[in-house]
Amino acid sequence: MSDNSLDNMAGKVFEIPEAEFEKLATALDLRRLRPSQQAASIAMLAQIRPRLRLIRPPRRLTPMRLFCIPFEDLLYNPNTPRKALGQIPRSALQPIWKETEALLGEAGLAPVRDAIKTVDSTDEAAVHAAGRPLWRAAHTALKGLSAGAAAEKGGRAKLQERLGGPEVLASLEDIVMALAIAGPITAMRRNLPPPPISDINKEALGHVVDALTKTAAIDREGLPMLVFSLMARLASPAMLPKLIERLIDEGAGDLIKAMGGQVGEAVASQQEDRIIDVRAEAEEKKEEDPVQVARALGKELKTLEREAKAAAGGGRGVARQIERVKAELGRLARETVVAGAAPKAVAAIDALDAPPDNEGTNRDRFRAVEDQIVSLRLCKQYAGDIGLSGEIDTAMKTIGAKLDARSDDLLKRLHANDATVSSVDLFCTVRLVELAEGSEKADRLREKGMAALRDD
Amino acid sequence: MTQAQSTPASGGEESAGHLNTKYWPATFEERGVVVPFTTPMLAFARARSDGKGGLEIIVPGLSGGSGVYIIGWSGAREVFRMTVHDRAFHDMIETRKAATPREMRRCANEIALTGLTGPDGIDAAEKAIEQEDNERLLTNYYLVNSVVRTLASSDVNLSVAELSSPAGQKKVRGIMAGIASDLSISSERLYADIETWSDLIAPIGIASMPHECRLRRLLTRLKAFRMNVSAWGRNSNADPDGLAFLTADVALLTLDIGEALMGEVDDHANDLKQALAAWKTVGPEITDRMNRISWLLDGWEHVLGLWDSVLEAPIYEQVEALEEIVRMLPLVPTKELESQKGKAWGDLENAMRKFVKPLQNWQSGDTDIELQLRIERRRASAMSE
Repeated sequence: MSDNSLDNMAGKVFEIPEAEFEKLATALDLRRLRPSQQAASIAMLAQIRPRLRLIRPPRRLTPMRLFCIPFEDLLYNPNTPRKALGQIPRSALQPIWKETEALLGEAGLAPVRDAIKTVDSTDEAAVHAAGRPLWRAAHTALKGLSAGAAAEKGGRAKLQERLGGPEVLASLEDIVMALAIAGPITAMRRNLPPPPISDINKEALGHVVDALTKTAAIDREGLPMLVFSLMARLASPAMLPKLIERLIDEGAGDLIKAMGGQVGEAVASQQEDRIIDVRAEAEEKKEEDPVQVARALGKELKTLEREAKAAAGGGRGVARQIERVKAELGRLARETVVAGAAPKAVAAIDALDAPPDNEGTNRDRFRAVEDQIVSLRLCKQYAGDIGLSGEIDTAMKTIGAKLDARSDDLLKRLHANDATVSSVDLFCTVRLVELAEGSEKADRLREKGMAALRDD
Repeated sequence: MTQAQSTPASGGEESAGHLNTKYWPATFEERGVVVPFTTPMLAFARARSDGKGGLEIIVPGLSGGSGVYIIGWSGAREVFRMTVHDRAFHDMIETRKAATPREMRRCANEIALTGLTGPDGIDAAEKAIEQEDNERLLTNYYLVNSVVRTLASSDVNLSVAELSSPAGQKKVRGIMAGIASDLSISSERLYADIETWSDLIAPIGIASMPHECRLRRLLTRLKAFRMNVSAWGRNSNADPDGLAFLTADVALLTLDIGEALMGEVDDHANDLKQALAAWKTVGPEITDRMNRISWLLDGWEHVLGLWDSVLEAPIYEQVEALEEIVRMLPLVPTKELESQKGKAWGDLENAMRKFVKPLQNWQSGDTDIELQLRIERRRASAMSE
């Protein structure tokens, strides 16, 4: 099936009436519980996820979904097995839930299944009330599992192997902590506006202080987990420093201090973690789609800037970590976009006049030149931040000189009534000159070209 | 460029501009037709007649005020640093005096075919032209088939293959001659009227067609957009000003009027005998409805394209897109609202006045390449959708 057909199908998902769409989501949720249909249902749910994000239909409550509620804000989908500080990879859920099921047994799970049968999944307070016994039992069981493994020689390594990797074991520790403080986390969530939170008023701030205090009473080690959950719900992590200042003003300074620099470290860790996927994607796409790579790196840099502000309180270590990420982005941009762009563009410009072959159409050839220039232009927008301005300027000059030569040649051939030159050649070259050197110069070429065409 | 408050829309200075705080146009002609420029500051500005044989350009929320700037057509070249595509496009529109959606679409495709928006622009324009040709052919086929099936004295159902074979065409000519005779008109007249009819309605096709033609499809997409943007407003917690509901309201108003107009056109295809017998009055009526549909929907393809492009984006990009959408919302002119008197649309104008965010930094130097490319992509997808 072509990309276009897939796009059309994806577009149709948005045309299904809302009530029908809710039924579809419920049906897929149900099928996901049947092992034979699980894979297909998950794939289909992934396809309709953008619409699910918009509509947010009530999802069928399952024991596993109930189990995940205290830490659901921390879930993310890295492309490789790994874990960032303050986040839990979704891939860790199945192995940990399997352990939980085995530890709780039928006797422990039956009351949970009974409880969720009668709960209205849209009633947050009722769902949380139904979850409390499960969270308590799961916390005790998983904490026992972790402690047992730690007490035994080589036990953690064995547990790690059974779970499927270090990132799952680390996630287990986070989940144990989140379950321990499930009460304050879920209460704070109920009392705050739904995400993305763009403003926390005085009343909401009071609820955060209350949650911090209750968490500290359960386990002070749980304080960062509570803040990570809050952080995941904010419209921008850049809100954090101000929020922390306000929490200190509200008398929570002692609790904030107890967290050390963990919040700033989490921001930096999450940024570094994301770079792993960005790097892999850049390496994969640098040949076929340099524009996409340049765009993705630019987006990442913007996010980094926002997050650098958020990590401002994290100390020199965090600042250094963020600088390292920035340098890594610069290196990636240099290696995947900037280096080689000028020779590639020059070769592609030369190829514009080559005889037709089976490699692609004339339009594909223009597209190849355009992609190199556009990727450089996109990089130029953030080149100053990553020390690439000079290299990009040099590359653009080389491309500009080549385009000048082509423009002169085209005009000569147009004046000489060369039948192998078309108006599309002229205007596509005008377009390239515009992208490389601006609209004024390009328009002069257009006017000269049109005059030459009129002379014919 | 100069500014003036609430000056008459058509009384602007020649090349300078003026600010008009009036948001609600009375007629489609006053609203103007969307010009798919690629210069970011001019993206989806509107063009309209200046009432003196020339054109003027309307740019919303340009420099800090809530309102629209109205600039004489030739003055736009002096005020804005345009992309090369836009300079050529600007010249073409001026030469052709293109001030209707159909003419603007033709100019936009022609200029894209030159290559000034690159190979992707050429591809999109070719696709758009091919699609229009196919829809015209398909509509003609379905209309002829409906006429033959409904009005022929015996049961006939023609396949495309039959219609294109000499024997099939001969058979059709015979059947059509019989129908023409029943309608007391000549066969030539019948052929000509059906051809005119199918050309007129090709942008929406016939309701019974398995393929949705461009403007019918746009209405379907608009319905979905209204539903989804409302859901986003309810669920996102990122729309304290209610921009999503405002947008959904304008979409609903457009849908109400658009579906009624399309229904009227479809009704004629359901009563072929009467329509063909009274073609002299029915033809102009269909022309009027089709013109109004194309004016009514003008600009929405760009709105839908913008929203589609952020469906999977982070929430802050969706908020930015919605702010841009509100700035370019195609408001239904007051004259079209006469049939909607029972509905409380009056508040909409106040809401628009309150929420339209001005474009900032419009005179800043360099073109934002990312923004320009985004506009070009949106333009290409809107033309070929």
